[in-house]
Amino acid sequence: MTCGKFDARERPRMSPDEFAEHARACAECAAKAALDARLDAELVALRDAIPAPGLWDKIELTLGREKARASARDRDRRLRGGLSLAAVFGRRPLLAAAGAAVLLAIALGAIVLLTRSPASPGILSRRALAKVEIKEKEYAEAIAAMENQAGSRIEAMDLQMASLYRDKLAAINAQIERCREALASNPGNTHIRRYLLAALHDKRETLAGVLGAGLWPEPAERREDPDGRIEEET
Amino acid sequence: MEQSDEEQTIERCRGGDLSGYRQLYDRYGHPLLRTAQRMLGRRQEAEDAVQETFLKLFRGIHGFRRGGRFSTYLFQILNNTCVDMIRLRKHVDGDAAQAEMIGAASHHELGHSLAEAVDSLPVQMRACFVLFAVEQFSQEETAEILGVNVGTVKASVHRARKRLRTWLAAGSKGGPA
Repeated sequence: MTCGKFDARERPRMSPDEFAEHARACAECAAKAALDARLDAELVALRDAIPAPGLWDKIELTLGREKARASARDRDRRLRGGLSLAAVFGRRPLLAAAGAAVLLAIALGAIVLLTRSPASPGILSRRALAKVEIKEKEYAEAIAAMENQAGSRIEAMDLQMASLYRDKLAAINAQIERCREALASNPGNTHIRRYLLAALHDKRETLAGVLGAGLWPEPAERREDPDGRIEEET
Repeated sequence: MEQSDEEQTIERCRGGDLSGYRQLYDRYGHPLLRTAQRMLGRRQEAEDAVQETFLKLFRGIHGFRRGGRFSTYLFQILNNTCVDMIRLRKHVDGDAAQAEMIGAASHHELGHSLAEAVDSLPVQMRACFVLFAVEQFSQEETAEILGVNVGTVKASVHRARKRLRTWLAAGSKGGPA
């Protein structure tokens, strides 16, 4: 059996009609064509779906974990963005002074908040916690109201100022994020609540600074109740 | 899934929406698993390959060019995953011939079913044949998925069909069962 016409059909150098004509006279090519048709018919079975119970569940679990990891990486990047402030300042002496002032203000704010209630028991009472949560909500609402507008103002600023504000807001956002993560498992922790309030306060002031002083109501004065718990006057 | 639906689904996936991946799984899960099964021969490894493919898709979906053919992109990932697993198997098992299931096998060794016969083809020939003849990608798409030229696909599919015809002929005469 040496007829090469079947290969010519398959390549294809021969039209189907020409091959059919040839196969009527060539037993070898007719047999190959019959096997080929059988092969095609049997290949259909290889296209059946393979049952895979539980495979999607495993994939979903893997993707869920990956998504959580990606979010954590994103947070780290934002935090590193805040730290890159130093690199920006290193190249721009004028900004360095402004940046130092901003950092000093943040540090002083934190120190003041920490030293104002040395007798704090460390855990907020239910009443104090409710008040603090209301205050946090007020800050969050005020921030949400200002954020969009502030974003477009920052866009319109010159590059250095915009970079300064973005870096500052990124640092504050990272602080807020860390506090909220910690509070998820320990909501009554006085110190973390203080840090969170300080960060929210700072963010609101920063946004108000972006939008122009006096346009937004001053934040409530903070005071402590006699047993050292956080309270704020509205 | 319509092309525009698929584009919307991919956009959702870019945004990290897992229900988008579920839709892609509903559309491509079985073809991917079938191909992996043919490439790797072992069911558990095939499932692992599909899982890994979706993970790589999740990580790299932003690299998928808009307007590109998604199925080709997805099968490229699967093929690379399978090749990596075969290489790893070679490393772990230390038996290259067995690992690749390379067909020094004659038609007498092609197995008892057509599936086994296909699984016994050499790796590249098998990949070309499975993508073209089983999953019905075009020769150009098959070449793109495997990173080879169209001539290689044509020649590989031709040789694979020839081997499988021989196997069928032997089976029809009472061998190789």
